[in-house]
Amino acid sequence: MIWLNPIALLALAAVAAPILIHLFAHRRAPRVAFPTLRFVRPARMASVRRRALADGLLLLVRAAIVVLAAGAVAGPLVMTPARLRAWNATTIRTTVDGADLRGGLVRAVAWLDDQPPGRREIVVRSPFPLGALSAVDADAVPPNIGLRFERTSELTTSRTVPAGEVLTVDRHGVPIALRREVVLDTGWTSVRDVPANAPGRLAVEIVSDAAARAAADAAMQEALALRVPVPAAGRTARIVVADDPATVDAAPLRTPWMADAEARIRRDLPGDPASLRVGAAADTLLVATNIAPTDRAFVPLIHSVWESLAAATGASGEETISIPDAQLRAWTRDAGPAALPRPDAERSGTVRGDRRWVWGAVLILLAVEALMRRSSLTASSLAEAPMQEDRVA
Amino acid sequence: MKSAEPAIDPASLAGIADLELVARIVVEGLVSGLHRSPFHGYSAEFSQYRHYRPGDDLKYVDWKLVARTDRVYTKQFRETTNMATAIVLDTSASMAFPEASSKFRYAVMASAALAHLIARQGDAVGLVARDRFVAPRTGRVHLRSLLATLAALRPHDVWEPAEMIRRAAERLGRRGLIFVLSDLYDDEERTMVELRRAARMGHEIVVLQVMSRPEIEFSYGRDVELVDLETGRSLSLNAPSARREYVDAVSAFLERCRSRATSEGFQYTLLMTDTPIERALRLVLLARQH
Repeated sequence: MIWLNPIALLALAAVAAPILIHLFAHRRAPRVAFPTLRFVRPARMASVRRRALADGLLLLVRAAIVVLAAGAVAGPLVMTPARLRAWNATTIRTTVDGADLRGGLVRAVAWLDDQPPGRREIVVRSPFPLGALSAVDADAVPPNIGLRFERTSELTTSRTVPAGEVLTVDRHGVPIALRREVVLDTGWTSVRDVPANAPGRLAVEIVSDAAARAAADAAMQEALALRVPVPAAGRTARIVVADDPATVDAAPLRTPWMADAEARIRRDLPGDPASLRVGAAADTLLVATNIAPTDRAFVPLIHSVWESLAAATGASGEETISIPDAQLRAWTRDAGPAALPRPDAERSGTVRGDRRWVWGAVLILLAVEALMRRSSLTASSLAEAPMQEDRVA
Repeated sequence: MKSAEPAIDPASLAGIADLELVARIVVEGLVSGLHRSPFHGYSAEFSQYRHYRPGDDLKYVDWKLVARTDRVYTKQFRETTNMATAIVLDTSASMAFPEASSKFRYAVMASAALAHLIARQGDAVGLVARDRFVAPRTGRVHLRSLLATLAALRPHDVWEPAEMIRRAAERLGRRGLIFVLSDLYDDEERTMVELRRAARMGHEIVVLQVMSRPEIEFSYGRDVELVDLETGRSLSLNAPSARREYVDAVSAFLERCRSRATSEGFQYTLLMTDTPIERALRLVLLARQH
């Protein structure tokens, strides 16, 4: 048996109430030395014994009422063999497909968790490109949930995938945009840049003193000649050359892409951390540095800043190599026995507990208690009746 | 008849340890209300004259002296000892009830008062209580010895009333007076047989049944656990529901004791422990005068 609302079992402490009432109401009869018991009728003694027994039974019934009421609120669910058989006979299945298999698995596990009791299984339908799933993803699925993999189609052996745009300069030093294409094949991968017939937009500017201006422009030209990705919309950066980067006025970073950009820049330039200061100036990424534009490291810095402005590109879905069947078979497993319902399952309507039977028992005991109390009162009043006559007389 | 002195509360008397003092207090309160001795001797020798007091028996007025002196004198006699009295005292544990002012203490005080009164009138008085036997004798020294014996008695266990009465009757020898102070709970049948036998031997029997108000009225509230003082047996019961039958049974018992005693020709008096002793004894002694 499990409890669907176990916190309510705290109410069992209330069983102390009838016990305390009984103890206070039925204190031990005082012992009185008496000359002789020859005039005390045995029937009276028997009635006292009966009454003590009845009081004990009444206490038992009252305690049972409290215990059962607390149990009913706690929502008992009896694990009968028939119930377990019924649960195990049901299999709740969900299918994961689409490009994001990893996220789909996580969502499927969450969805199954909210379902009624039964065996659980996830069917993954996909061509299974390499990298779409890993052993970690399969292990993250609870062991009682079965996993089945269905390959929907074979991957194409060769394809050309668009990989965004890059920026470079022509031989006159004018920025131009190029469209990049990646050719994927089972045996090799190649990258090709095709003119996009569109002017390039300079999203990175360099602020330096006049003396270093020419060197800075030359460094920018050199970095663009190496081809840089076109920044995502709305992303701009400013490189400020200063002797002491700490003195440059910069606000703290506020947007996630700026934080990613700082991490990227510091990863690409693992030199003295004090030579760089990354901050924000309105919507612009501000990179203050004491690296002189004439320095050899200035071109990689510009390139890194450009790279940090690019949007993340994922091309795993375009993979032409699939996960081997043997690997998929290794991850495949049958659904385990039906999991026990969660404590809040009744609230979500997936399970109906057995509390109605317990409430029924409580009602019956309440009736029994009322009858016992009534009969006890009747007996007391009968015993008291002669005394009342005496008083009248 | 008027009561000369206000009666003393038995509970107050019970607080006085000196039994002789208790006896004297009781007797002084008692005799002032009596006209003449309740104990009649066969012969009496002249002792002295004293002025006549209203209420004195006219047969003791010396009329010749009145004629000679015009003054009324009453002759006083010293009664010779010609009657022996035995006090049989119940020392069973049931007499130790109620705890505060027990029947036993009441019976001891009443016995002491009786002994004092009897000894004061020159008669022999003795005591039979369990294994203590004080032979009937006269004199102040004997009275003190008897009172000391009385004071040393304690109620416990059960007693053999028939055996005590038989012993008292046999030791008295000639015709005498036997006071039995008991609640008569023990061996009712054999007690009556033995009392009848003692009466046939020529003894006069006075049964003083000592009872307390709580054991007659049974006025306990709710449930009580009663412990039998003699057997130690305990029983729980609901007092209000048991009261009516109990009171009926006790009343029947008391009525049976009274009727059997009177039908046998014994003098019977029910002594309640909340009645002042001198008042109770006065009733006993007045009954003997009539």
